[in-house]
Amino acid sequence: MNEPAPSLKKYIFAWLGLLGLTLLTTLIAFVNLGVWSTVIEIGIATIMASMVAGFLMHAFYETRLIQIVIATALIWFLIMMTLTLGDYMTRGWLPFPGK
Amino acid sequence: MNILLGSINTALLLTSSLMLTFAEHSAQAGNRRMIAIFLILTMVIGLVFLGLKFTEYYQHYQEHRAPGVWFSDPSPYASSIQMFFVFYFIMTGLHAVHMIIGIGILAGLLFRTVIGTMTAEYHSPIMFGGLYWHFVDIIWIFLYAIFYLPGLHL
Repeated sequence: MNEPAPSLKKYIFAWLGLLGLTLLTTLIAFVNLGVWSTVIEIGIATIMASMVAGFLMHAFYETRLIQIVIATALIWFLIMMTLTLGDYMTRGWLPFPGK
Repeated sequence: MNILLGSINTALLLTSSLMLTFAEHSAQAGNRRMIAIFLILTMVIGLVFLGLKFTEYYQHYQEHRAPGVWFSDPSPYASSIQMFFVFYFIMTGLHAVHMIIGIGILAGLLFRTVIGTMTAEYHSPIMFGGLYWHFVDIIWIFLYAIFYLPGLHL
């Protein structure tokens, strides 16, 4: 079996990048940026997750078909999150009892 | 939240994933000895992660942070704090359960490597086990951002 995969060097660079981003997001968390703190922290977490998926799970090196399957799962996940947060974040907008 | 233990655990999980990619790389070359060594390293780092996680749980328990009758907090936000810890324990606990399952999967792969099933031609199980382990890693990256980081600046 000869599946596409990154070289050892790329694995190590991805790992160093991930550790660096962990340090960065932890340092940023000590600064109070209001609502932007959450945005930046989740943003960095998303970049880290993409790096794990892309390099360690070699999604960047797979065939186009497999990448489309991954994208389908991601889009479905975003639909579910939008519905959930759409409910959660609009609670309290209307003065219904027991909101 | 103990930010020190949380950060160490994040670094440990990322390192365990790196060890597993080395095992996958050895599998593609069909080097069984190196597969076994890196699988064992991955499992050991995973166990250290779980040890630190349960140390942290024990700290929460001692600080009366575990939800239930044992929970107590003097602040007026006690019920909200308890709700936070309900989510915290369920989400990190579910993650820990998946880590334990992952270590079981890796142990099975290690057994199949040692008895000589894995070769350069046939090593897909190691790749699939790796995908599982890396995904559990991704979940932790988000748990870290959700539970550990916001407490630092509030």
